[in-house]
Amino acid sequence: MLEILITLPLLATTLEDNSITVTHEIEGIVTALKDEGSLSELDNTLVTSQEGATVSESSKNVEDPFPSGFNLDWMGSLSDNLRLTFDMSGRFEYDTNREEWSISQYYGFDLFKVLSNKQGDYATILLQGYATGLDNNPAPPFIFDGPNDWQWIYRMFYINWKLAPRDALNLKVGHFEMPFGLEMDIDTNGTLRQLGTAPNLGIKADWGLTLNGVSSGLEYEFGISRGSGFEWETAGSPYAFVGRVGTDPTNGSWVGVSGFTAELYRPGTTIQRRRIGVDAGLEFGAWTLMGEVSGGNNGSNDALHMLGELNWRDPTEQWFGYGQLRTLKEKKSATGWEGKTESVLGVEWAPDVHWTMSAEWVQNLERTSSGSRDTSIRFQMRYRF
Amino acid sequence: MPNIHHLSRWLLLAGVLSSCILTHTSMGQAYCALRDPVRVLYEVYPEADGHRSIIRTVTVEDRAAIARVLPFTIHFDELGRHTLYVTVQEGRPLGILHARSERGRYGLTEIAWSLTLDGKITDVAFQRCRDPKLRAALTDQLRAKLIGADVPTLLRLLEEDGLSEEVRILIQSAAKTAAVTFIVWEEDLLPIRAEAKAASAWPDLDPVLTVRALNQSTVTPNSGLIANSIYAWNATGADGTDLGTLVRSLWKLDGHQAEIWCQCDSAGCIIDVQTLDGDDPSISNAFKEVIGLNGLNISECATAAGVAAGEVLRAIDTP
Repeated sequence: MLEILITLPLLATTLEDNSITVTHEIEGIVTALKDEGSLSELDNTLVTSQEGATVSESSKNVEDPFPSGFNLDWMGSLSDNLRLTFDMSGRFEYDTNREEWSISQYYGFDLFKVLSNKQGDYATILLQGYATGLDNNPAPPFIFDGPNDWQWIYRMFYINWKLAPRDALNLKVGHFEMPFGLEMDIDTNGTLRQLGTAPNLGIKADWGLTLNGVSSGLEYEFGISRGSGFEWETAGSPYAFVGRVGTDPTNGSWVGVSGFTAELYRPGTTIQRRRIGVDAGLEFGAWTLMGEVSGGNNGSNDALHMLGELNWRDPTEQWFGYGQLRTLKEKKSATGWEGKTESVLGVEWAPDVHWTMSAEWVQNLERTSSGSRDTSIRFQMRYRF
Repeated sequence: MPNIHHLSRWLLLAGVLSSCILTHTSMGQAYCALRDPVRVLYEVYPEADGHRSIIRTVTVEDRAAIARVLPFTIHFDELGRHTLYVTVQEGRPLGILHARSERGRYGLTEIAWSLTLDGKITDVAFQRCRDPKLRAALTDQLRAKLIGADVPTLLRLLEEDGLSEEVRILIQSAAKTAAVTFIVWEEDLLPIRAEAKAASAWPDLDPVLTVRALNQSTVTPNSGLIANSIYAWNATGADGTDLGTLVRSLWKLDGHQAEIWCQCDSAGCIIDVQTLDGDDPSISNAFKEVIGLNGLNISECATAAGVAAGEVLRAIDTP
C-alpha cells in the first residue's frame, strides 16, 4: 500500500513558502520506505537528497496539542492507545494587601488510555495525580492542614464507558470536573486562568458518576456526586447534582445552560448551594468573547456570579492573552450584596512543547475594609514531559 | 517577603530537573481537554455506530519516510503520540478519519480527513477553524477534486496554476494526512483492511481471518513480488467452514508497481484479484487474467502477472 501511495514516476512540485521556492524532482519509484535494506541505489539517492531539503513546510506545520512526551514503546502492548506525561509546575503569587509571596508546587502524572476491541472503543480512562505543596498560602483548601502543607491530589481520575453507539450515551465514574458553565468545554486544570467554577459552586471536581454524550448537535453531561471535593467524605451526608446541555463549541459559537444543587461537605458542617446558569461564546478571527451568568442561593442568601472574558491567540497559539471581568456576590439579610468584583489580565506563553509560562494580574475593583483595592500578581511555570 | 527564598529554591529544582529531560518532547495541554472528533466522525460516516482509536508514535524515522513521499514533510513538533480513528459498523471497519492541525491566520485549524481503508480521500470537514477564508476555500468544486484522490493525485493537484493559499493548505493537508496515515499506521491498518476485504469477498458468510504461515523463501526476486510484503490469512465461515485464503503482496517490475490482494477458494484456485495501482489500468487488466487459475495450471499464464500469481500460490503452499 505504501508503495502505491508513493509511486511518483515523474514529479516536479514547486512550493512557494515565504518567498522560498523549493523544487523537488523525483524520478523513479521509492519502495518499502520502512525497510531501508530493500531500497535500491536510486531510491537511496532520492532519499538522501530529499531529507536535507524537505523542511520547507516547517513554518506552516504545528504540533498535535496532545502528544505524549514519553517514548512508551518499551511498555509493549501496554502502550497501546496510551498517552502518559509527567507534569510539574510552580506558582508564585504576591498579594499587595498581605505584602507577601505564596508558592504552590505541583508534581504529577497525566495518563490517558483508550480501551478498544473489534466493535470499537468501549471506554476511556483519564488519571491525573499530583503531589501538591503549599507554602504560605493564606487561604488553603480545607484538605490541607494549614498554609504550609503537602497533599496528594487527584484532579481528573475516571473511566468513561460507552453505553450507546455514536457516543450518544456514556457513563463516567470517578473524580470528575463539575459540568457547569464554561468549565465543561474549557480546560483550566493546573492553569492560572480560571473561570470561577470553584468559588461559585463551592466545588470544582468531585467523586461520583455522570451520564454524558453527544446527540443531535448537542453535548450534555448530568452527574451525581459525593459533594466532598478532593476526598470522599460522608459526614453530614453531602451530595451534589450537576448538569449542563450545550451546543457544539467547535462550530465557532456556542450556548449552554447548567444547573447545580448541592449540600457540600466542609469540616464539621455542610453548606448549601443552588445555581442555574447560562454560558455562551463567540469566536471571531483570533478573538473569542465568552461569558457565564449564574444565579441561585448560598443557603438562604441569594447569590450571583458573572464572568465575561475576551481572549486572543497568535497564529501559532504560542501566545494567549485574556481579560476577564468577574463578580461573585451574596446577598446577606443584614448587609445586602457583598462579595468580589475583579478584573483580570493574563497571558500564557508556550515557547516550545515543554514549557508554558503564564502571568496574571488580578485587581479587586471594590475597596477593602482598609479602603484600598488589593491586587494579586501571579506567575506560573509549567513543564510537561 | 519572608518566603522569597523558597522561590529561588524551586527555580533551582526546576532548572536541574529540566536540564535532565530536555531531549523529550511534550506539550502543555492536559489530557482532560482531549476530545474525540465525535461530531465530524459521525457526520462523515453517518452509517457508523462506533469508532476504534489507534494511538501511535510518529517518530523521526516516520518524518524521514514522509519526506520520501512528499515534497515537504512534517515539522519536528508534530512528532509524538497521535490518534487515528477507524469507523466501524457492527464491528466491521468502514473507513478512516484522521484529524491534522494546520497553522492558520487566527490560530490552529484542525482538518478532519476521511479516507478509504486503501488510502483515498473520501471527505473532509473542519473540526476547528477560525478562518472564514479557509472555510470558504473548501468549495464543492474543490471537494469533488479531493474525493477519490490518493497521494500522487493530490501532488498533481498541487501543481495546478492559480491555486489560492487556502486551497494549497487544504491540498497539502490532504496529502500529508494520507501519507502519514499509511506510513505510521501501516501495520495497524493491514489486518483491518484484510478484514474489510474478506467481508467483501465472502459476503453474508461472516468470515473470520487467521494469519496463515508463509513460505517466503520460494519467492524469486524477478517475479516482482516483494517477499516481506506478503501476508496471508485463512478465511473460515462462522460455522468453521474453510472459505479460502486472502493474500496481500506488493509487486514492482519494470517501472510498474501495485499492491495486490488475491482471493483464493478453499481448493487454492484464484477467484479474484484486486490491484491498487494508482492510475494504470493495464496492471489491473493483466492480473485479471490469472483469475480461475490454480497451482496446477498457473504456469500456463506466461505473463508477468501469471508469474507473480504463481509465486503467491507457492508462497502459501497451495497444491
